Amino acid sequence: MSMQAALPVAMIPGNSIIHRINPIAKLVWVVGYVVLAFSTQNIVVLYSMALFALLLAPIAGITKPLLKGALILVPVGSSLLALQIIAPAVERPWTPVGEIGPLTLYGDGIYYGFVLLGRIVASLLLALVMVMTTHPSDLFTSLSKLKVPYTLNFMLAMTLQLIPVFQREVGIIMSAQKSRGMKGKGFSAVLPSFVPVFVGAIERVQQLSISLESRGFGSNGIKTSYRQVRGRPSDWVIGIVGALALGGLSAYSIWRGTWNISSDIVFSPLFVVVTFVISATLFFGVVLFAVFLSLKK
Amino acid sequence: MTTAPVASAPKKGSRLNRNNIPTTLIVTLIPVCVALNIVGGYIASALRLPVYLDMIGTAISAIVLGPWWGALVGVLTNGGSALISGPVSLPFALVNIVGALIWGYGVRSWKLGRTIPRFFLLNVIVAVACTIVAAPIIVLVFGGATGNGADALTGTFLAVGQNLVGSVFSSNILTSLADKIIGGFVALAIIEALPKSLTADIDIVKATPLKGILLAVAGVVVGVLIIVVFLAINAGASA
Repeated sequence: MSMQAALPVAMIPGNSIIHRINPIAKLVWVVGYVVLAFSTQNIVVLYSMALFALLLAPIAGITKPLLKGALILVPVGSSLLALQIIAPAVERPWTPVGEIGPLTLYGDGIYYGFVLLGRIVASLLLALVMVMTTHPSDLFTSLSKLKVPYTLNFMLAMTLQLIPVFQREVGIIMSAQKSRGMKGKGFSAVLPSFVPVFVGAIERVQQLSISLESRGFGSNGIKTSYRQVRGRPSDWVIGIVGALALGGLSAYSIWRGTWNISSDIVFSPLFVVVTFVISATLFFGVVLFAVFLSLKK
Repeated sequence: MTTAPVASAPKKGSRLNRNNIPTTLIVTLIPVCVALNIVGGYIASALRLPVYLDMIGTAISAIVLGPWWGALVGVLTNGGSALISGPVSLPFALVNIVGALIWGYGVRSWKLGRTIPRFFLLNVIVAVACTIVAAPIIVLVFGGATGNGADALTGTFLAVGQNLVGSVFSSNILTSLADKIIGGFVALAIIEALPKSLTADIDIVKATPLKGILLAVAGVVVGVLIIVVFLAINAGASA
C-alpha cells in the first residue's frame, strides 16, 4: 500500500524570491485573498487573482507540484458547476436553456457556479504557493512573533511532523497484517490498521510529555527558536501592498454590494449545455475511476 | 522509615487538568488526534472504504480529554488541513466542533456511552447535528458540491424536484450516518486500547466487533434513504 504519496502538498525546497519572502507577508496575502474571494462576486477579479497566483508558480519553481496539488479541484469543481446548472443557488424564476434526460438545465446558475469555483481556485492556488515555498518552522516562528501562543504553535508543528510518520506506520502495519493473511482493504481492515497506529503513537507521546515536563514546557519566559526569521524592508513593502490592495478591493466589493457583474455577461444556451456535459462527464469519470480502483485487486 | 517517592504520582503544584492528565500530555495528545483525523481520510481511501473516517481523533479527544479539548482538535484539524491543502476546508471546522461537543458531553455528562445502544444513539445524534451544520456550509461555500460520490446522490434528488439545500442535506445525512457511527465505534476500540491512566474516569462501554455495527449502520442508512427519497418525491410533486 503506497501511503507515501497520499499527501503531495509539502514545502518544495528552493531559494527563489518567493521562498525568501517573510512568512508573515505571505500570510497577509493568503488572508487577504480569502477575504477578497468571499466578499466579491466579480468573476474577472476572482480569475485574475487565480491567474496571479498561478504566475507565481514558475517564479518559485513549483509549477508541476502546484498543478498536481490543484488536481483536488477537479471533482469538486466539476460537480459544483454541474449542480449549479441543474439547481442554481439564485432566486427563482430560472430560465431553462435545455434538457438532458430528466434534467432541466438553467442558465441562471452558471455565473454563480463560476463565482464559487473562482473563490476556491484563487484561495487554494495562493495558499498552495505559500505552503510550497515556506518552511513550517519559519511559519511557526513568525506566528509566535505575532503573539500566537507557543503551545498552539507547538501543537500545529507537531501535527505536521506526525502526519508523514502516521502514513509510514500505516503502510508498515498494513503490510505486516497482509503478510499474516489478513485483508488489506474493506471494513475488516479498519481496526487492525487504526488501533496499532494510534495506540503506538500515544505510548510515544507519553514519553515526549515527560520530556517536555522535564524541560520546563509551559514555564514563563522568552521562547527561542532554532530557525531565525527576519523581516527585511522588502517584506514590509510586500505585506503592506498586499494588505492595502486586497483590503481596498474587498471594501470596494462590499461597497458595490458584492460587485456582481452577471448582468454584463451573457452565457449562450449552447455554452451552458456544453459546460454541463463536460463537468458532469468529468465528475462521473472521476467517480467511476474511484470505483474502478476500489474494485481492482 | 522513609518511603520511596512514587514516580507516577503528581508532584504538589504540578499542572494537572480536571481529568488528572498533565497539561504536557494533553499538549502532545492533541496533535496525535489531529494527525489521526487528517491521516484517517487517507487510510479510509487506502482501505477503499466509502466513508471519510476523518473525525475519529475528534471523538477520542472529546471523550478522553473533554468536549472542549475535542473542539480544539477539530479547529486544529481544519487549520492543519488548510496548511496542507488550502483554506477551503476551514469553514468545516464548525462541523468538527459540533461533533466534538456532542461526543464529549454525550459520554461525560449525558452518560450516552454506558451501553452499546446508547453509544449508537449518540453517534446518530452526532451525524444528524454534523449534517445540520455541514449542509449550509456546503451550499454557501461549494454551491452544494463536495467532490465525492455523494454529489451524484445530490444530483438525483435535484432531478426529482427537491431544492438544493434539501438535496444536499439528504445526501449528506446518508454519508454522515455511516461515517459517524463507524468512526464512533472505531474511536471506542481505540479508547479501550489506551493506557488506563487516561481512561480511568470515563464511564464508557467496552468496544464491540465492527461486523454487528456495520449491519446496524446498513439498516439505519437504508431506512433513512427510504425516508429522504419519499420526501424528495413529495417535494418534487408539490413543486
